[in-house]
Amino acid sequence: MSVSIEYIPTGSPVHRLHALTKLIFALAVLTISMLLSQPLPLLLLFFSLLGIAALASVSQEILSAVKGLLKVAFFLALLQVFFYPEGTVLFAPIPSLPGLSVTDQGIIFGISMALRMMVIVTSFLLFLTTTPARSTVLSLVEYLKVPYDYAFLFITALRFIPTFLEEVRLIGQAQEARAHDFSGGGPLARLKTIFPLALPLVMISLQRAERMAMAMETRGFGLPGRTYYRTEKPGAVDIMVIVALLSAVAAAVLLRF
Amino acid sequence: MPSITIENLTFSYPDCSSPALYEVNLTIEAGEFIVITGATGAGKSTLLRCINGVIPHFQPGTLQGNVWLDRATPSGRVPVARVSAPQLARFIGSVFDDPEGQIVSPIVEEEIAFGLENTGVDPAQMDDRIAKALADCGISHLRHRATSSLSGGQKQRVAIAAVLALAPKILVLDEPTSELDPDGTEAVLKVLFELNKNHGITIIIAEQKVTLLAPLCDRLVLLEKGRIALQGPPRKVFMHPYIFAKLGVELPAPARLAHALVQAGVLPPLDSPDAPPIPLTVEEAFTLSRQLL
Repeated sequence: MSVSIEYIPTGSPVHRLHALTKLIFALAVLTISMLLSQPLPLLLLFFSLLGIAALASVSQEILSAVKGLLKVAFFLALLQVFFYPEGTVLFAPIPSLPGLSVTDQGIIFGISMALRMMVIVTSFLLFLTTTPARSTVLSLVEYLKVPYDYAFLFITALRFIPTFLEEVRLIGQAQEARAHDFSGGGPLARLKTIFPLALPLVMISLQRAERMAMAMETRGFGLPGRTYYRTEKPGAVDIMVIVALLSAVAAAVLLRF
Repeated sequence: MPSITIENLTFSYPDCSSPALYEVNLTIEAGEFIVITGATGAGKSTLLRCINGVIPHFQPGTLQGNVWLDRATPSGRVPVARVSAPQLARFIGSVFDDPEGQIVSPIVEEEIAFGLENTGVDPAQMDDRIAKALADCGISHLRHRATSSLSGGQKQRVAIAAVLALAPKILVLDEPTSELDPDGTEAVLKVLFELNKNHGITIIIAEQKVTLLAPLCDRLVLLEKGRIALQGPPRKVFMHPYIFAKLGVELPAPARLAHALVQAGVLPPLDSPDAPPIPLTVEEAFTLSRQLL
């Protein structure tokens, strides 16, 4: 199962929303899905998420992720169906074990659970595919007062993923050129063959971290009064969407209790 | 007008019996293009690290003497060691040898903005300063590219643009082309030459590639075991081939040709008044050869 959780720049209206709006969206969907207990409303919620994915032109990526999720959802539902004790017993596969009997409520609960999982994962996938990580991090710094140092750590980690992969490839090739075999038998042997790859990688990374600290400080990192090149302010549309989302959550709460 | 004055500088790395630099005295003029060279371990990088403040801010060791940064404050000169590394960023731009380890942002323009953000520049001014720094390094077209997709030479030019955006008077570069291919090397050196000529930025560079730098620089400094063995304009320095041989630094081919012509009796001794200037480039060597024919 390959799930794309990368930012996909398509410039859709969804992409143009502020990162904070989309984060609130994912959290609101999460809350509402927790409050809904029937399969039908959850299914409606799920389809509306697919509608938003189409609006954001990321349907292809979301659908391929959903396909992978279906298997997980199926097992999740199956597990709940067998272990949910309440409700009218429809049939018991092993008569001596009444705990494993299938009930009508168990089926509904299992399906809801699976749908809920799909809804939550899809909503966060939507958030991740339509929002650049940098915007998310900067809005966390600006609006949720996360310290910049931690945010910077995250952005830099993202920047180093390609470098890291390239180094893994180079070290792997260098070790293979010296007749190292990475395809060792069992899991333990496999783990052992990783060491000649991991050790140089860690050493190189530590050395690089030290150099990077130098490069950062010689460019003024750590001075007081830092400014930000691109700050994104939530627009009128963002405010409207956030208000709508919060009212939806409030409505779901009122309906439930 | 001096820009950096080094006085009796001695530095030893921890657990090292002999000092990496010993009693170095050097005055670097504002607007000068100066190349520090020497064999591996001669002290090139150490000298540069003392100038850009990496010593003593990051590298422990024993430091004696002073590196003065001139006109850093209205009251006059200050020792580099007394200015914190982030403060120093406004006066001295540092570029290191590893193109990968000095780029912190995923996108080129964000990389250039990084130093501006750190030093508290007004965001309204940033677009212009980013555009200018990129244009000065000839890489305006890379502005929106991912830093991970760049070649080594492009990364080094991004690194130069990133320090240039802070408008330093001095650029200190520690073997910036050591990991680059010939094309990347040429592109980086061309940028440095233009920054020096057009903007009067003082360039202090440690390099092995004397042949490429000789036609560009004002002064060559040869180090030997932490001491200055020889310094002066390239044409003067190249008069002493035996010192180059002794230090294990390759004398550029055009200069070797001139010395060979003297030995063959075709040219008068190079220090005599009627001797032609030592050629620095293949073109100059060609012109000299043609005059002799």
